[in-house]
Amino acid sequence: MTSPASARVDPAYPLQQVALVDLLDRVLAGGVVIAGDVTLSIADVPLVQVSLRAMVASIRAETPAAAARVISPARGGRAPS
Amino acid sequence: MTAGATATWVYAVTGELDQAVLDGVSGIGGAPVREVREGALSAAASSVDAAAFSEDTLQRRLTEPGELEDLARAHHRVIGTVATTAPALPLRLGAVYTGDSRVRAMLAQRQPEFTRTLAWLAGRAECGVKVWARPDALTAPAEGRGAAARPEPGRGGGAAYLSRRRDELAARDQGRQRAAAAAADIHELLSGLAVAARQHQPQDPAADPQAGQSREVMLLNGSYLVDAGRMGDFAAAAQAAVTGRGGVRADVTGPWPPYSFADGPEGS
Repeated sequence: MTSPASARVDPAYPLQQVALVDLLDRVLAGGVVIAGDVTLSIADVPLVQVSLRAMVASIRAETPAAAARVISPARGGRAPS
Repeated sequence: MTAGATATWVYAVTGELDQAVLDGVSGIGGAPVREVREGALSAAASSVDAAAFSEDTLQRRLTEPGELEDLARAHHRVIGTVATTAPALPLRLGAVYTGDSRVRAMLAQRQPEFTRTLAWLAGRAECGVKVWARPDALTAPAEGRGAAARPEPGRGGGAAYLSRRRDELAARDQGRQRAAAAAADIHELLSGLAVAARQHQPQDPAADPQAGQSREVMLLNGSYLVDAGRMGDFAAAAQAAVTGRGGVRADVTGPWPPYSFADGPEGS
């Protein structure tokens, strides 16, 4: 229970091959939210959406793949614990 | 060219930070990464140009795809490096302080919470599971309800069209309901195998080469906190969860630093 953290097996993380969309899900919507001195309202949903839209639009411009519908997932974003 | 004022960008909070590890990674704009320590906690941080990282400038940069990608990848590079050697709490992109003393104050203020969350995250990592469905997996009529194939004897063009259209819409509704139920099933199953679980917004298929080509839709964009030694088993379980569901496939990503679990055990 009290084993030092450094004694644990910590995984190696793939740094280069991660897809940008997956990364943005995490760095824009995850992570600790702290009130920095630069009061970036990145915690606000609109900016995150703007950022993601801008990124997706750029990908779509590169690969004119079909625009498909997105359906809503199961509601209640949080898992029971 | 005089050096302008600098600000401090923070990547992650951790209990221990090895300078040798930090020496091997560069931060935003290629800057060296350093430790900012306060009590038992350390922040991995680097200096950025204060003018280039003011609120307005940063907001604008985050809406430029190229800039956003550079910032996100640099942020992740440092977090991933730090998290390899010790439990680390990733910060959301965009934590900028006017100086190191402000970072130390933040660490002191949130020390109990950070310490608790770091202990919870130790030896664990995040696994991403994205579940995609082909459109035909969503619109195929349900078992025992061949409504769309029902003949319409004696009905004229207009009425037949309306009837067919109504059946199509009903089939689509059923397809969506079954898709939502499948996503909930899979998420529940995987949550039971994980320490904790979160869901992200479903992604736009246009951003995924395979999904964009085959017009798939995302049913589930889940993140699961898993003991680091059980990552392989968990990934296998995720694949098994979609096996036998026609037209449905899973993309497993990770291991990730625990971005989606930075809110700690109470966030569940």
